[in-house]
Amino acid sequence: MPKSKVRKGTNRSPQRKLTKEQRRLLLMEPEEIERATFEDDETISRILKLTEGIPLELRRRWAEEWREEHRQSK
Amino acid sequence: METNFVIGVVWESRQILVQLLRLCKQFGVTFVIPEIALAEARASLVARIDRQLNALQHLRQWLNDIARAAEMVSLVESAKQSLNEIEAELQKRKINAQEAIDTFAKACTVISLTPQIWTKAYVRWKVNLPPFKELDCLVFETLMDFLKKPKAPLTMFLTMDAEDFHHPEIHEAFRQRKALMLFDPYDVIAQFRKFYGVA
Repeated sequence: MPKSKVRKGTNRSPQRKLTKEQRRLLLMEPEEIERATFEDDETISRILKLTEGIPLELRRRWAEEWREEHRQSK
Repeated sequence: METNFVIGVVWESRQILVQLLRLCKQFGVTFVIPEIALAEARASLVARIDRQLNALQHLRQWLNDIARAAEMVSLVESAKQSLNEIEAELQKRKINAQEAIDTFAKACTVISLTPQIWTKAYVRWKVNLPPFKELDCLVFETLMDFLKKPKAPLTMFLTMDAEDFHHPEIHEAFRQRKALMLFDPYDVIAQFRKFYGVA
């Protein structure tokens, strides 16, 4: 019986095959990322939807407040 | 990841962090978050909504005082009616905020805080080793425990808290576990590009 040839898998190769979409996402420029919408991702859309009731400006202020508290913590 | 990431996605909707979450999902990358970081983000967010709810309660108490004057009763009643509506809205926000954190958690591998990790973190904190702060020590020891056995060809720890984590001892600890510690989300994308050969 001929030995089957064992090929090197692509799983650990740095030259993994990417789908068009993966390649597009990976090569997005910072400006594109800033404009990106995430409707295609169910989880992310859900997170964004659930928090939209609290104005973004307020949430960002709260985040800064938390950072300051964290800075002061021991 | 650590608390800043959860807050950056769930509270601040920071585009670059949301994009990183999407990338990890698209590429099947394991996205790891210590349980303590998730709990901290949840508690801080809920505490802020509770603060608004408590303020409403105080307002009601003032209104009761004001309503002692007969001519104010109907005005106070209508103000209280509005407060009830505001409270209902805030309660809804609180439920939604918790659900947002839960949804985020479901997209991640959450590493539990065990008594062993807690003990190590407590000792680290007590003897004043970096990252110095109690919660950061808990995050650090949780990650160290998770990384005991190398799990992936590329492992990165992204923290936006350079003030607490950017110490040679911490870098060395991650290096020993074959993980990179990064402070800029764009550096994570750069590492992905390098790894996938599209740099």
